[in-house]
Amino acid sequence: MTPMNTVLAAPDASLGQGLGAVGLSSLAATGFIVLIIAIRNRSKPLKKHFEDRRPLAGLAAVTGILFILAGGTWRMIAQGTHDLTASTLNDPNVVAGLTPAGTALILTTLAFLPEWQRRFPPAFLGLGAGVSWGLAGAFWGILFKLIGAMLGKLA
Amino acid sequence: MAEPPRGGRSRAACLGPSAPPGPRPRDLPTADPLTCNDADHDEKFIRLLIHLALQGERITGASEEGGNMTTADEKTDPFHVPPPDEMPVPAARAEVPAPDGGQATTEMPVRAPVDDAVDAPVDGVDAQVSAPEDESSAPRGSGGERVIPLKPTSPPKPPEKGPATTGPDWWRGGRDQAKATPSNGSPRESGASWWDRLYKDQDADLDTYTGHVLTVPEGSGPVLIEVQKAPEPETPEPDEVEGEESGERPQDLGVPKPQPSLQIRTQPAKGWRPSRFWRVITFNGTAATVGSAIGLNAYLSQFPPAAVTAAGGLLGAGMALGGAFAAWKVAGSEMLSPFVPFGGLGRIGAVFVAAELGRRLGQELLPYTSDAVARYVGLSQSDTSLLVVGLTMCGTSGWLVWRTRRGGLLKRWLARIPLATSLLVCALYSNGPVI
Repeated sequence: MTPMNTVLAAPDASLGQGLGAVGLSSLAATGFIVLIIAIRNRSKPLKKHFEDRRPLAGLAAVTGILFILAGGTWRMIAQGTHDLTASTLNDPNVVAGLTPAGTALILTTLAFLPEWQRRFPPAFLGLGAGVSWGLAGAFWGILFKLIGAMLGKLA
Repeated sequence: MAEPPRGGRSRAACLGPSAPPGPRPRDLPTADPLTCNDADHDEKFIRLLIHLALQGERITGASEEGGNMTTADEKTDPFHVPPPDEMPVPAARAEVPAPDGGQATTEMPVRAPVDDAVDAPVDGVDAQVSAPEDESSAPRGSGGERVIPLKPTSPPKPPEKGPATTGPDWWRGGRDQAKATPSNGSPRESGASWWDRLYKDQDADLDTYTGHVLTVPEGSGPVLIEVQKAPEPETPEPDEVEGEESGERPQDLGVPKPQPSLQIRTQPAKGWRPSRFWRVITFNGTAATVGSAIGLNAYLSQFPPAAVTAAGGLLGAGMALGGAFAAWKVAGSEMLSPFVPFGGLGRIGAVFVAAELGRRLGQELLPYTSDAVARYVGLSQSDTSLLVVGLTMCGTSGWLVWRTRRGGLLKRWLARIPLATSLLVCALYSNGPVI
């Protein structure tokens, strides 16, 4: 069983710069604008892809991961969005002893599963869910890392 | 109640066998066929029919085509339309509605008053309805033939509907037309109440079962069925947790014509039905709760923390099983089986060799795989092994769910328990933040 305990040094996960000197913060600003347009649901090309609530929540989650990776004010925005819902759930009167993984599970369920009639709640919860994936680690962290690696290749 | 007309009684009694089963149970004890002559005669004839029906298997099986005219599937199919040479098979149903003949006549004059002027436009339909009954009573024998002249009021059959009602489809055609007959003020002077009382509960069953196309034929107007069914309480359909939305259901009928019926079907209040979100949550949540109650949660939660040491062995075990299965299939195939030595022993030996090779290969494969993943994807080694363990857990239990997807609700729920539990275990496992 010796070879499977070996942990090799993982190199950096970027193969190159996809879009040139865009940067993660510019990408975060673009994602923010795209998310707002998708929530408003007036634009035709965005309406084509994000009219349903679940793609909208997915876009919000990707945007949340992008905010976390961009850092700075973007990270503060995403973290605050996550903390608003997570602290509500972590209240001992709501769910006592909630782990970060449990927070991620509940946020993801609330963002993706219900059939929301309004467009803002899935976007808000999805933004928080994207952050909670990074905070939970393990399987959620794998998801976070995969999306983050793709975004890092874009930037 | 007035004395029923002789013609109507005997006609109803002879029409009884041609109907599908399903009179209401309260009609059965009131039947007294010994009080009237026709019913008595019909009872003799029905005994003959029952006798023929009991031999029906042999009669239809030993037909002139050598016994393979009717297959077992056609006979067990409830919607199978019997061709004329299968006549003993519908005649077997004679024993069910036969006692109804005496009772059906007593209620007939109650609904009898019908205005002829109102019924003028539907006389064509009336003719189509009554026409196949004459044909059905024709092969009955002496009793049926004697009854036919007693019904002179039925208009002649329009010739344009001849091929639709005659031929092998006479059975279904007559049944469908009778369903389309309106319940109030039926144009038929005596048959409407008879048909309605016979088909009432059967329509109630069909009302909740909308998945079959044959229950709503294209030629009829199911609107009238709905009007007839309106005062009856709607039976709540069984709770199908993974089912589709109720809005998609009328489209499954595939019947383009009865548009008002499709709207009526969605109108009656079916009571509170939870949305898909709550159905999914309840189904999987109860399964995961039961899984944690029986200790499956505590057992499965040992695997993700031990993933780094267990993934190699797990991948080796999986590849050993896969290699053994592939070797069993390949060594038993038609192309390669002549080259396998020692027959069955050689096949088993190939299986064991392939399993050992798969085990070693799987153990050696994981470091290379996780190395490549860490280099090109961005996941660490522990992430890869965690992914292997999680995919093995959820894949195995998901395969069980996939195998039982056609089962009933309880079966699917029982099969969902391992999947829901392992999904919950994987989702609730955390090893620190990654940001």
